Amino acid sequence: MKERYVRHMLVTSFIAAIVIFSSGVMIGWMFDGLRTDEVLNIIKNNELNSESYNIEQTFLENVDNVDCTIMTPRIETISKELGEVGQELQRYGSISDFKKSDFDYLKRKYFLMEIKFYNLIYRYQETCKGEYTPILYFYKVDDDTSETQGYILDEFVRRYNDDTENENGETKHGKIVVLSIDGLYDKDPLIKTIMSTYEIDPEKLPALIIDYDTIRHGLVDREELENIFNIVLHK
Amino acid sequence: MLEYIMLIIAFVGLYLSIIWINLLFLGKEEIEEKKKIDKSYLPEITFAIPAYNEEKTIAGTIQSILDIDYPKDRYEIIVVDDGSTDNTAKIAEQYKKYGVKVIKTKNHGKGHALNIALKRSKKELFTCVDADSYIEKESVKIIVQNFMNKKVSGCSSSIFVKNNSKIIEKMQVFEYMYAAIFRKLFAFIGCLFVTPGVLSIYRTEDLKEAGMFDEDRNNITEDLEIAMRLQSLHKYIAFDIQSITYTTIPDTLKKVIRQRIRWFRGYIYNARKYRHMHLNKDYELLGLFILPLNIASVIIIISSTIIIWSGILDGFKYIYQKAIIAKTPLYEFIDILTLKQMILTIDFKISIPLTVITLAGLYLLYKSHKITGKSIDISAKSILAFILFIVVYPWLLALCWTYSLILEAKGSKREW
Repeated sequence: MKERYVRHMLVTSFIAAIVIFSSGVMIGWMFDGLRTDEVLNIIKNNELNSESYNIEQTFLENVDNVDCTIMTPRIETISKELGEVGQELQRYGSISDFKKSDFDYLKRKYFLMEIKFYNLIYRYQETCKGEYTPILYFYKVDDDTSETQGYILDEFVRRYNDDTENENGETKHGKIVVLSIDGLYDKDPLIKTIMSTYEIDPEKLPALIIDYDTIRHGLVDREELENIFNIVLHK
Repeated sequence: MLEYIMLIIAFVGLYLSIIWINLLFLGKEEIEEKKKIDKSYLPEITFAIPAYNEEKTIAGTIQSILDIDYPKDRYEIIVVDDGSTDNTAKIAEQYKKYGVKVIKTKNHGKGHALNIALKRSKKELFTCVDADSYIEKESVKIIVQNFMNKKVSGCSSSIFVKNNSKIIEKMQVFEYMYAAIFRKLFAFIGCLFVTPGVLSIYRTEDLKEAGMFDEDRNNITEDLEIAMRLQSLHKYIAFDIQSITYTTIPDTLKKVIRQRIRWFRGYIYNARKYRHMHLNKDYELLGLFILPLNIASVIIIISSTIIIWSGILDGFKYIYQKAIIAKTPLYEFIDILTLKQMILTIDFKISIPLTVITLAGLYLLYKSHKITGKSIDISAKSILAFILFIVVYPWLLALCWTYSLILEAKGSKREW
């Protein structure tokens, strides 16, 4: 008699386990939607800001009144938003189960936005030279050297950007913007085009393109970055 | 790959947690019932104390049996000194005046020592008491009630820890509390397959019929072996959670590891010896569920430890890369998230099962305290020991399991 009860209990426990486990999976699915929405919202905002900046720059150029004090904060906002997109994609993309393709789409979109921003800074630098220096950072997913390079760049840029003014409040140098791109991402031909233009070997990732013309393969430590930027500043 | 293993572990853990809680409710009356003692039921008992170099504890063990609340003419005490090289026999002999019988033999192992006492026993029940156990006054009166049921061949008592001042000892207290509730649940479904040597009572006739204790010195857990043998003969083993016996536990990490390795190697040995019972429908729930589950638990504990350690190593790698190579100051390490980001970062398919498992674990511990009547120790030391028991102990067990498996695979000599 007891045996029958216990067998029944094992079955009901199994059903209960499936129900609870499925509820976790269902909530995960719901949250995956919220996560993609969150990233998408920042992307949409960033797109609008980029678009607005583009129009503003064209307008100011047309009326021959390009003013770096107006443009620089706009660039800063776009740069900050791009950084946020990158962080959110990294944070949520790894735990997504059901929206892998959506996150893949967002990742591609993010890379394109970064390259668009790269071009935008190029145009901006023509009039406001020295305000922003871009670093295109090509990394390899799940690679220790790339991870280390990422941390070195984070710390170097944080210090560099915090130290833009001297003791008298005068501007010492501009800021750095890092744009990180998966160097082995094969779903967008644009990345391959950029890499082949700069002769970046996918076998030797990570790689950096600093200020459009300085190219480095492999791990670049902080001291080397400092040396490179000393040269960049005196160009 | 790791993610799938984690999901499987989370699901199995969730399923088992629900089973134990379900069983607790299903058997609520039987498990929690305070037994009424039938004062007229007083079967005759032989207490056998096998002892090897137990000069520090033997006197206390004998004295605790002499002090039990049970008619003196209804029980006998036989100390079998298994070739001790210290004063164990001498100390035991001091109790001869109280009727304690002392038999000295050459060192042949615990099984052999127990069999010497068993062959002499003419009593209805045969009790095995480790020479470092201390029986509570009422325990025997409570535990013998189980033998009113003619189907019961053996019964064990709850084990409480005698020495629990050090953190390492307090950690083991939680292990013993969990063991008590799980043994009761196993016994409730007729699947208890261990009768700890601390205090286990058997029907003498059934023990003799089953072929007595295993004297093979390769078998270092004779208490597990005899229970498996009784189960293989379809005998019922009960567990009396309200009957309490105190035991002396290892007080250093080294001794704990040594004891666990002995237990685990003994389990592997006996699991192989009685492999025919696994997945055998003749043994019903025990064969089809509990024994395979035990093997699965070993796999789960080892694999989950590997997963956790790989996570910890990733953490160290992160710190090394960020702090040493990238020279990032420590205050920059913490990624401050908004509440929304924190909620969105939760992995619900793992965290929901984990929450249920944690709550079930805490509930079982609470129930174990409640049923055995042991008060919950909320001292700072005990709370720290509990945290360590949750965080560190599974790794320690995984390490002992892995090492035991390696030793067994290599065919290394089993030692007590």
